[in-house]
Amino acid sequence: MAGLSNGVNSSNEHIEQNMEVLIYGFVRSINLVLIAVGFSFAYGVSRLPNFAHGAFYILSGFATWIFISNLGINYVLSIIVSLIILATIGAAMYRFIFIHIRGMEISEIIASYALGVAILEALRTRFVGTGFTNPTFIEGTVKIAGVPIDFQRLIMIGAGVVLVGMVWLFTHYSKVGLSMRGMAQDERAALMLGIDSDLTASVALATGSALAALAALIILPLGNITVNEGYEVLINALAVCIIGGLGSWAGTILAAFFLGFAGMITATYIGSNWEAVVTVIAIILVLIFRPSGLLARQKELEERV
Amino acid sequence: MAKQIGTFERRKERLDRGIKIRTERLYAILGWQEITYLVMPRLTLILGLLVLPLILGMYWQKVLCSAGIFALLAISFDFLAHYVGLVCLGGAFFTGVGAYIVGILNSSFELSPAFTIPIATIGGGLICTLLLLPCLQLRGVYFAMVTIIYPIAATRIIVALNIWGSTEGISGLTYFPNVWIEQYFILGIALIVLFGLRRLVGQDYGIVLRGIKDNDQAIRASGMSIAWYKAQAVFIASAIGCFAGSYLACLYGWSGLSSFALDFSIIPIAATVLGGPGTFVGPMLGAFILTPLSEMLRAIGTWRIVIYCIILLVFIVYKPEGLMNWAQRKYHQFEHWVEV
Amino acid sequence: MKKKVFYTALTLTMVVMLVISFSFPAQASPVKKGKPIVLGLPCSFKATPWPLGAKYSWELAVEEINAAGGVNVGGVMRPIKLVVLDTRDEEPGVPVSESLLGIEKLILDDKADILVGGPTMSEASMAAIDLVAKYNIVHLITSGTWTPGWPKKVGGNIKKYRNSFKMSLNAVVAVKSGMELLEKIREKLALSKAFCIIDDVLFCRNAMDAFAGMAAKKGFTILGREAVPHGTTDFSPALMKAKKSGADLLFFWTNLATSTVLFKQFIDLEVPALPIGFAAGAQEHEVYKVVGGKVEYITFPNPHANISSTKAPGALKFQQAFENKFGRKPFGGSGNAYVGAYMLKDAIERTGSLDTNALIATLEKTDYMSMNGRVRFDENHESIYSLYDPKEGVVPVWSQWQAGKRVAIWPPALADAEIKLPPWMKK
Repeated sequence: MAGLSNGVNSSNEHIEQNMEVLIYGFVRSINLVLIAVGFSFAYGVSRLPNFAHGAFYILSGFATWIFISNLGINYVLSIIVSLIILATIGAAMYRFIFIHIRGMEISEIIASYALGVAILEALRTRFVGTGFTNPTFIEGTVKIAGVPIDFQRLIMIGAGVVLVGMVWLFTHYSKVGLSMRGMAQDERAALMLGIDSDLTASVALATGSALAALAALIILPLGNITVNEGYEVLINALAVCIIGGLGSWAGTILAAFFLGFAGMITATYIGSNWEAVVTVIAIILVLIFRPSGLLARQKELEERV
Repeated sequence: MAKQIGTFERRKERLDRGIKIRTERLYAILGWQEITYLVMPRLTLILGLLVLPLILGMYWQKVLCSAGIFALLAISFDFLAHYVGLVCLGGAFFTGVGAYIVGILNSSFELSPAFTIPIATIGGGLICTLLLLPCLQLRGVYFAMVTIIYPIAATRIIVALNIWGSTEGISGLTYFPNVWIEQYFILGIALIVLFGLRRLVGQDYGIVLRGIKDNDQAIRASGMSIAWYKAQAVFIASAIGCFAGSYLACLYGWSGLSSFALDFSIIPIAATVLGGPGTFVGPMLGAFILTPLSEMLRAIGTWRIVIYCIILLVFIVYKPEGLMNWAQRKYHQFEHWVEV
Repeated sequence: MKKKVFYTALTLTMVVMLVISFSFPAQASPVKKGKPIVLGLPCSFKATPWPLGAKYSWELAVEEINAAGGVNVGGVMRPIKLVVLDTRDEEPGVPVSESLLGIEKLILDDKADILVGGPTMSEASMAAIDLVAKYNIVHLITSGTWTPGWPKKVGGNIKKYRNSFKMSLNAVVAVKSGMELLEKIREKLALSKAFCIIDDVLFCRNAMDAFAGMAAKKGFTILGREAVPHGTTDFSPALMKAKKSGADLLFFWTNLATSTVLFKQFIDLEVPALPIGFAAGAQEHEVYKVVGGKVEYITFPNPHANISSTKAPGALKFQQAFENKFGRKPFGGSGNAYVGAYMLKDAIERTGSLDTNALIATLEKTDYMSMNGRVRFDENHESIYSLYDPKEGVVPVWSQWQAGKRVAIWPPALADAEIKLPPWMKK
């Protein structure tokens, strides 16, 4: 473990280490929130499990890379185009795949998972090796309470907060958002009120995909774009949603923070290699004691977890 | 076409073939025709499988063994998904557990495959069931989501604790004595499992399981414990999976982190969907189609996974009944257009 | 409508698959006189650059050998037919049994005479040892598989595993050679406090333990050890710990390509230490572009002189030929692969036949002078390494990124420049 070089500064270092854990733990948690929000949105609002979530995440990263590095298009424009492309793919996925198997959850899971794996493996053949990164938005680091943190991560935190806020507002106050929630709560009633089920679901899936793309574009500049990250993202999103409870905003955020801090604390005080163990134990414990998630709301018997 | 007054529709009507009706129940043994009708498909399958090792070249025999492993995994997936309603997207977990048990027993205690495989099957089944217990109360989506995580978590934990050879695995395990045992063993077990499970789900036990899938509250209302039945079903499925994993370890003399590989989760699912979910023959058939196909497509590397997934997708969306169901339908029924 | 779509989709997929599977011939050189020698090359060249480098080198070498007439086997000039098979061993999610089945295909279906090149992933290579013993075919690994477990296993039962030979570097040797370099650095630049960051993989942990053990014995202080989970893209907690510990040497040993983030963050966080170690990403020339130039001062083993040194005889010619054919500078496992190809040719010619047992005997007695040093095999069928002298054995070379180029800085016999420290260290 990191040794302390001299005893005089030990209390300072302890505080610094704790500040590090606090700040970087926060960063990790927001990272998880960004990743999970797209998946949670599509499922919580429209009961569509999009297991191609990780694939869309990486796809947007590579698409942006192609625009920026291969075609030399302006960064902002590339981001916008990527978002539009991913949203379109999400809607198309609904229109051509989900629409046939709507309601059959098992088939939906398998189909979207298959699509996800197909996309990821196809990307793997094209993008071999390390050489793919997206540039950061702003270069440079700044010190907060003695802990160096780079601007990109700060942007990530800001974006995460803003995004969650916006999605919440959207689903609670906008017409489209409210109709989506209506669909999720009771499809028949919503249909009777003239809400078009298919259209709403398309929009929900498109938004979920765009959220995944956005998360990717903010987070990926921190490192390389690799295909394996796609699988990681899917698993993390699932872990967050399981622990938090699907369909509950607060639950997702709570779970993200729980996992983020648990991971950071484990990494700092126990050892990085134990992170995985902690995640698994967390999931199993939650499943035993609160199977529907920390803050899930169970409505009727049919929706029981 | 002349325009007619009123709406006329053409629809397909399916009727059982005469011979199928004649072979219901006891009447099956009335005549040679009936007996052949019933026995032929099964006989073709059994004889076909048993004859294959004799006609294939050395390399394709190895492929046959591999196909057998995937067939077992696919049957296990099918059993859980369509008869109990538990979609296990992490079948690799079972394979890994089975492979590691064999690896540990063989390398540390020098036990031969004759002992390690049965121990891995039963013991592995118990361990997997125990580890999956917390998830059994979940249904559908949730169970699927959690099971994806299991194999990956297992690999991470093994690396974190740095046990059992960590990333290098355990190699140098005892092989099977000879090629023929390799093949007939797996084919034999595959056939036994196939027909055994079909028998099982045909009994009352199967009805209970299907009840759990469709409406578990009704089962609970009948005074039966859902958790107990689910646990049993998971035990059966995981034992099959662990057997496949332990066989794999003895086939290649190795077990390691990649015993938990994604391939072992995805290919059985693709095989099931392709072959026909719900019938156990379908998944087996699917595995026997996909595995040789993947070998032939080796030249294109990772693209073959893309192709599996596309096949999977196409089948699940447009032809969810799969090949076997379609074939069975054709065999038992005939269709014709009727005006309505 | 649904049915039509389904059937069209299905037929299309089938047609595409058939076309693809029949239009990918195995690598073949034009057949001249004599039956071609079939060399099977199992490696995972689609997954990471390391085996791709090896594949390229083999292709280059085979092309050159065939152009010069082929291999003289007992008086008959026979061309080499290189059959490359993607064993996918470097891809996560692929079971080793897949790679083994691929190797069996090379042996049984493609009728390979000798297996060369890979696999590069240690797990697969370890399992392959038993396989090649079973089929009694010579297996010469020229890249990857740095685990010290390999020579242990082969040496532990050399009678059974005599078919396996390995020319690629051994992690322990790399660390030892690094230690020599570090001692020199301590002598000249007074750096002696090390902090270690590694990928949480067995061979990295072994390397770190080896380094720490040797370093402690030689008077270096180890201020900390951090193992980050495999595949992580955030090294900042570990790097910050390093910075705080006051270390002036940063020892790293990571495998996955994502570790280029480590370098970027190292420079962003301005950790005042000299980074020295192994990371799969560091060797590639492209890394420079990827991290926007943030890879300066990284010191790493570019294990074979012919990739980065200009002093090794024939190295420049090899680098030129490689770049001409493939459009990139030599990378990954390309160094020893090229040397291995020529060494094998020499061995076959000396044996006079392709008989496995005779070939094994010849290989064991190999004494071949190459641009990487003198190639000989020890009792574990592994290359004999020398830390300083190319005339004694194969010399592991260390390079450093300086001004956008990989420059060989160690050992002195093959070095092109002196080692440089990051400017923010001079406080």
